[in-house]
Amino acid sequence: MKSDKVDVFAYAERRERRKNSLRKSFSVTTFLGPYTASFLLFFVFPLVLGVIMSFSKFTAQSFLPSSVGTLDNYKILFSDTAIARDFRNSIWTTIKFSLAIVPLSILIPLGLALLINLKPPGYKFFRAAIYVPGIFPLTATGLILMRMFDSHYGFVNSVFDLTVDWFGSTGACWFMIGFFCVWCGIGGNFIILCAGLENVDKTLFEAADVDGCSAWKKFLHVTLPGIKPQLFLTLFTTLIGYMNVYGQIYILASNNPDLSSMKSAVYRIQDLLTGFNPRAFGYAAAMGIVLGVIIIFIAVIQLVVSKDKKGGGKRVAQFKQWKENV
Amino acid sequence: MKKLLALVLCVLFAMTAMLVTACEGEQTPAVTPPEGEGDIVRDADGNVVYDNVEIKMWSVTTGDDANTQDDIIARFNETYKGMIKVNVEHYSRYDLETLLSSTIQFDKEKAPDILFNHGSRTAEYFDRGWLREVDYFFGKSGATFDKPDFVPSLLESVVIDGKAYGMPIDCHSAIMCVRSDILEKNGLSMPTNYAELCAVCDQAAALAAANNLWIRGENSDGYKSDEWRKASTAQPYTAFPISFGDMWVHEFVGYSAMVQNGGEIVASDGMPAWNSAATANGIQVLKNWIFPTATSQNKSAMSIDYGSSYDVGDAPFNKGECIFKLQGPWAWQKEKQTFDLLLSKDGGSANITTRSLTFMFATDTSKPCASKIKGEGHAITLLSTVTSYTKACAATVFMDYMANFSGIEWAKRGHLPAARSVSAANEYLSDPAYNEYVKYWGEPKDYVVVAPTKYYSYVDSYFKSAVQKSLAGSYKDRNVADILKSEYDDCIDYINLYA
Repeated sequence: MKSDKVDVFAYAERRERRKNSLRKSFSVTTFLGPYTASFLLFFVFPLVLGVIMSFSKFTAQSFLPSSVGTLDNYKILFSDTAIARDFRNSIWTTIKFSLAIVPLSILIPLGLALLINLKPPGYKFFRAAIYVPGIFPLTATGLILMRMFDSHYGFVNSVFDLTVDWFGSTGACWFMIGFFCVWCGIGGNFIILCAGLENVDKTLFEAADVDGCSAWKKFLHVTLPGIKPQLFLTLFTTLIGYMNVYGQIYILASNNPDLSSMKSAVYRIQDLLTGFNPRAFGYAAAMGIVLGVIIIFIAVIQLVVSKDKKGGGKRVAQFKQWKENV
Repeated sequence: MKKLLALVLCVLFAMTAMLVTACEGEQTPAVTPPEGEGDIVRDADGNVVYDNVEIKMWSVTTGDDANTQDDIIARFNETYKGMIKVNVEHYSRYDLETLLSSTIQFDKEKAPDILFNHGSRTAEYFDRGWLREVDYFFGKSGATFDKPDFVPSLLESVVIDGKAYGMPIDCHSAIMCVRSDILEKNGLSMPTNYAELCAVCDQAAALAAANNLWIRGENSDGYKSDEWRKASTAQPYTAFPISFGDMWVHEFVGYSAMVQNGGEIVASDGMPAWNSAATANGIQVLKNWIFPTATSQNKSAMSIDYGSSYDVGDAPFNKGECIFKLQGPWAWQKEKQTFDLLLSKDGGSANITTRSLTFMFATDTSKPCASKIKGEGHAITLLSTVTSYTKACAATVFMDYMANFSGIEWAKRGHLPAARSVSAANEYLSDPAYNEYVKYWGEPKDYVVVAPTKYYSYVDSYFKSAVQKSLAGSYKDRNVADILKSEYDDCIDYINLYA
């Protein structure tokens, strides 16, 4: 009789556990399933396919490889051919451009976010106005810029009595591309940094005031550490974004006689697909993988450099020594 | 969880690898040569029976061109009602090829049967296995394809290894718009060749410098638009603006300067042939246009350095600050409308006229090549996706109609007929539009298009780059031949990758 009782309890427990487990699996599947499926289908699968394509050869007739398992595409990328030279130059161009534009894309929105954080009259309007250029398509904004800065018929040259060919000379064209990137690209970073500034603990500012900190020291020791996660997020995403720069150069530099030297890495990859010739897919995929590896490398360096220095064992040892001395 | 994710990734990688490896070598099958009658049904007289055959065509035309083409196709559909119906979809040149490429690869059922596109792409499309030869189906349908009747260059663009893969329909290029009122008022004559053009431009510049050049048009100086005024002496008068940023220059003028001076675009093996002294001479003509030298034909600049600006002739032409400008022939009607308004009180559009580019860049007009114009020709090609022989036969009937019966209506939009019999027909020559402006757009026989090459994209893009650099102020000190050589070497290097 007793054992029957125990069995019933055990059965009920097992049943309840199974029900819970099912309920939990259902929730997990419902919430994570669509994301996982999309992630596998639209991220992992193309990535894997891209890697395989980079080791494949193609003919003009098909998007499918004619042979798989060749290193030829990579050998060509590291040879002394025009394609290899152009690709290496484009990588270097992209890195230089990113190094120039990323600080601006962080510092300008940071400055604007600090100003908006002071909540001056009409700050909500300014906050929206700063974000607005980013919501227009690149092509539309690019065409507006091209009209505004046209060397002969643009009003900028006309009003300021300039004779600069903003899109024809290489230096000026880079300036315009940078301007275009900042103009359209700061909105996102600005919003992230604004949100970060809102969340900085106000009591820390009060404490700093009590300690007699100057505005600069408050910024350096309270504000910046307070928005550190947001700063790193923007730095990370902006750098990756500009390592893939394409549209801005395509739109503004298309009439530049020196376009060849201005092409970014992604532009070169796109170039290979001119005429949509499947033969180029292998090279393009190899270029994409090489570019991806370079971006990962830069990102890892960035992560290592920006990692919190916890001090760990050294600090503990120092503390122990101090305690002993005391 | 991490192990599970790693497992899923490994499985996915393996599956993708297996999938790709399984597909390895499974290429799109080569287009099999046609044989037999297929699904063709013939009546008692041996004619092909077309029973509501529907053909899908993708066309590269857009805007007003598309409207005109729709009208022509509507007339065809009306003529062949109950037999053949052509359904056309228009795409811009920027979208067409991407869409076609992916549709033929992945969604063949939605692919068109025929394509109305630039004939110069035929070799590339053939290389990808997208095309079917048409001679066989012309033979079956009984429709006419009288090859000797077509302008040789246009016909060659659709013929590969002796087999035709489509039918040339028309040719077009950039044209010159001319302010005939300014020429007349200042006693300047209409130029008919490069030397005369340089002379007219030099005379206009000299008159302007002496404050003696009469101009009129849009202005902000308080003059009425039809009121004559003296051209400003503040800056040199340049009668024919061009720029390296202008599409007309890098699409048509650069090539025309090349062919008029004896240069060739493509060699017989499909490789670029523009790295030559003749081409360099032609491009030098354009460089001198902006940067004259002591030895150049033009003594004063015919254009200021507009750099990367485009459509640079539009504003000065309307203001009277230049006499000539480049334009597409399809925009001629709009030009006329503009001047009908601008000079409405004094003749309107009668104050402007148009000329072709023939002889306009040739340093030696006695050479046969001096009259050549680099153009672009539309052709209708039969795609490998055509689903039946009857459809292919119906397509040839439609090609015949488009080449031989769209005539003057299509020419009014700047598309001169590829068939010589059409341009010589009384119906064509007696149309008022012909006498008014079409006849000034040159003889179709003078039009040269890029010969078949599967490397078209590279041949074209590197030549354009060479032209742009040659005309750019930043490359002013660099020799044209050097620029051509450098671009040519890069072009060859890229082409060899695919060889």
